[in-house]
Amino acid sequence: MPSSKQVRKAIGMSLAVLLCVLIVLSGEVHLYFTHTAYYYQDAEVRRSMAGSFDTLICGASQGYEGIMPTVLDEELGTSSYNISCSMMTMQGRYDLLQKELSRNPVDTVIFEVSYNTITRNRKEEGPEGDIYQLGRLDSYAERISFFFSSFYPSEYGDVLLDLVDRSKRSWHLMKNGAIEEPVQWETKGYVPNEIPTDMTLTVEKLDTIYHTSSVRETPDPENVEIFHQMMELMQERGIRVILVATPLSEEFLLTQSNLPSIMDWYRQQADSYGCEFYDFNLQKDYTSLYPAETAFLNTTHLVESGAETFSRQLARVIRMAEAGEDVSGLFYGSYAEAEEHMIAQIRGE
Amino acid sequence: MDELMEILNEINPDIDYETEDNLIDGKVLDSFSIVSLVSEISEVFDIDISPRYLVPENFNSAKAMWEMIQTIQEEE
Amino acid sequence: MALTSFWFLVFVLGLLILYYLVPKKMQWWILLAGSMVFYLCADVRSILFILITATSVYFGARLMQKISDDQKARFTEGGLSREEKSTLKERNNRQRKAIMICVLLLNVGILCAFKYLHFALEQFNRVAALFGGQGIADTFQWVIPLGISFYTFQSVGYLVDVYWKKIDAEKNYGKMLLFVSFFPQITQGPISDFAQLSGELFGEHTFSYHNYAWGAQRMIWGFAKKILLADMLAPYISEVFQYYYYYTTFTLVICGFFYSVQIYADFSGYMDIVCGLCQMLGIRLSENFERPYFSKSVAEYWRRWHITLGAWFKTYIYYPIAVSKWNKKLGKLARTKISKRAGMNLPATVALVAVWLTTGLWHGASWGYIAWGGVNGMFIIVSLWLEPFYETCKKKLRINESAWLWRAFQTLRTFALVTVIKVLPEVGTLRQGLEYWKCAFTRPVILRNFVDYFPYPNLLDMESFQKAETLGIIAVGTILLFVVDLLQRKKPVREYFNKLPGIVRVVLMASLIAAIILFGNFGQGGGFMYAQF
Repeated sequence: MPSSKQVRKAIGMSLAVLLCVLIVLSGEVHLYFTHTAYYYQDAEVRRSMAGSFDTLICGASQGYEGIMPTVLDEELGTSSYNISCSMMTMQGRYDLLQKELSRNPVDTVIFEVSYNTITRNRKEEGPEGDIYQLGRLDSYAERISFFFSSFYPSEYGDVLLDLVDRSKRSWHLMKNGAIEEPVQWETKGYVPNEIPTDMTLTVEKLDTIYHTSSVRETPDPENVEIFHQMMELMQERGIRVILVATPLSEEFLLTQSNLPSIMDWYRQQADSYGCEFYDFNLQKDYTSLYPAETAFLNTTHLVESGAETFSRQLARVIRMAEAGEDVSGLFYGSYAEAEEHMIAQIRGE
Repeated sequence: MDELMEILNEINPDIDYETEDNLIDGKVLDSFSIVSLVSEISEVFDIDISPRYLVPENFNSAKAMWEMIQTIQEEE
Repeated sequence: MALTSFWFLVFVLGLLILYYLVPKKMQWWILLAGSMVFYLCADVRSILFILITATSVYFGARLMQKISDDQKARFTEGGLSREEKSTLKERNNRQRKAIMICVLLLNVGILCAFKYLHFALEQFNRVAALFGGQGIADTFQWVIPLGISFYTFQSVGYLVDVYWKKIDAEKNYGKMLLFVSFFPQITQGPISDFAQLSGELFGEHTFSYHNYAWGAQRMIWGFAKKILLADMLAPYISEVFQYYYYYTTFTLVICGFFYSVQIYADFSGYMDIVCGLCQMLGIRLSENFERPYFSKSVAEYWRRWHITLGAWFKTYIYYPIAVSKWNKKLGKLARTKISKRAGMNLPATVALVAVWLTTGLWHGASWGYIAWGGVNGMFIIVSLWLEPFYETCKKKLRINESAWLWRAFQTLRTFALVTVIKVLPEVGTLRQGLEYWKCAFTRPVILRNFVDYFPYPNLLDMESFQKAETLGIIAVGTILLFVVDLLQRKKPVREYFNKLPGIVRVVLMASLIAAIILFGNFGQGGGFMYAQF
């Protein structure tokens, strides 16, 4: 056995060094959590406005960048907040929903669903969504418990290094007085994309891409379970749940061959829970409402002008439904029908 | 031994081979000199110096070299 | 398992703890287990090849040993005439040589097949094309076993040492396997010889704070060199090398300079990590670097850069060729026909050509690398032949060899030379390498602004604070590297360092580690869809 004095000295010095390193790193990481160097860091906004929301918008990036609470408030007289975030996982949605429900008198939840909401697999896609979620929590207690409950051990190293990276940026921005106030104070959670990409489909391109790809069809069992938990929670509280599919670009819609199967799944859920489901990809006048040249950032996300239009359309549908009017006339009955009209438009018929 | 000294002085006359005992480790003789040295020694003493003898211990001093030569001669 | 990964550190910690807990006699078992785990993690499919090498060399050596042991026993028994002894000796030597050559060919054959088959096929196809023939398809892909260049050389060295009767064959297969596969050495060396390494590996090691602390300090310093300097420079250098025709002369020259810095920081940093780790285990590895950029000649440089490779080539290629019979005959011929000096230099020259062409080839399977080896060899050979001429010049110019200015000139000249040569095979093909320097020295010199000298920040997609930070780290890193190397002339810097009070040491080490974590690029940020926000 080695001399215990030598071993103790080695362990002692090593721990001392490690402690110093941890102190330096924690100091820097603290800056990340307490400043808003990143666009998704809206914890302070939600905290200070808590108690004032009657409507929540809960989704991933399509909801985050597509639904404007300020427009809904204007059109419907609500006081809403968009708690979505980029790549938000189902568990992430559930956690944040629970938190906001506990501190706000919510009677409506607009639940954004998309082509991959229920089919995504957390293990496959990695920790990105949870990393953003980590930056939106309120206290160290929450953050530590979230860290151990949401990340896989194989991700720990990557996540910690990523945290260090984000902390570095926060430190630098803070040093230069360049940390901006979160835009969410004004937009109430929505995060705008400003510059559109021209997503116009030419006839030639249409021919090369039509139905050449497909989305995953099998709902991930974990996601399904959490989805049911959320629906039950909201039902218990008597909350009006509105499932909404945001507009995707024509290019995306016409490339994928099996979107109806996913959307049907949502429709079934809506029927079984007795709640509303609106798929705005089937909206009539879709092509003029969401012009391919100006409304989209990329194949699956809207820019500000597109989001505004969409939010108004959403508000209109909600208002009509509330008043007991039949909104089915605003939508095509199927993807086949909607595609027919889209293609006709493109071919100039 | 005299013959060895003669060879050494031809290779590099500036060294005092009587006292110097760090010829290799002290980088006094470089690998080119060693090659010439080996070639001369094997010629003059009519022996075959296999590469296994080319280690610092055998060439650090004139005395070491002499001992090596004698060892090889005994083996043959 | 990359050396700069989190899991490697976990592995090392586990290994250290186990190593010092087990009975000392079993310590090398832990090393063997660790080496196997390391190899399997890195390269499961290729474990077969390293086992082939270890096994063939093990049996080959033991067989040769048996023959020479039997011979010794027979001679001691007595009763043999001089002729009988001589015949027996000759027969045994033939047998031993045959065994050695078979095992050698097997292992070197495997190495060549993996490393040079594509290159050989390329040349064959070129020649075939000249004659209007069809070449052989060159589309297969195979994974080169981890460390094959290093462990093959190390094993072959052992085999030849046994053949030369420098050492006795190792009887224990496990020990042989450990020698071949010892994980700190497997990826980038150093290449050790059995006599030195076996004593270290199979000995008994007591934990000592001194070894632990010095080893850990060296490891951390190695990580800093690699992560904070070498990895920081890498993207800039690869960018300029790839698009050299766009950049100004100054950029190309400065990039050449930083390439020398980068490759040194990378390779010697790796050695620091590996040697530091071994020191923590109480094992002494051969050094691979000795402040190489302070060399005064190309020949000296190659005694101070990648020392163990040079030593291997010297022992197993240079000397055997230089003192071989036919080379001696050649030397004699030269001495009588040309001059005494020629007689001395010619055998060495022939051996040098062999060494340098094979060294070039070892570094890479391309004409660029062969040329690189050839150029290095050429400088050494030329200075060998011109030595008397240099001496006369120096005397005529009355140059004082020990003058500071002269030594500085020699050092800078050597550094410039090796930098120019070093860049040649790295830019791409040999022609591209030559073009690089042509651009650097023949384009008109335009001085605009700092960006022209060092367009590093503009090349990479960085935020402004990152650009300033990166430049700062590179500057500080390069200066620190230079200063540490300068100080190492007298004694290891750790001697100075460990005289400082404990608190200061803790704070300095912690700062270095924190700097590595905070400023190091560990491949994050890539693959994040929303990173641009």
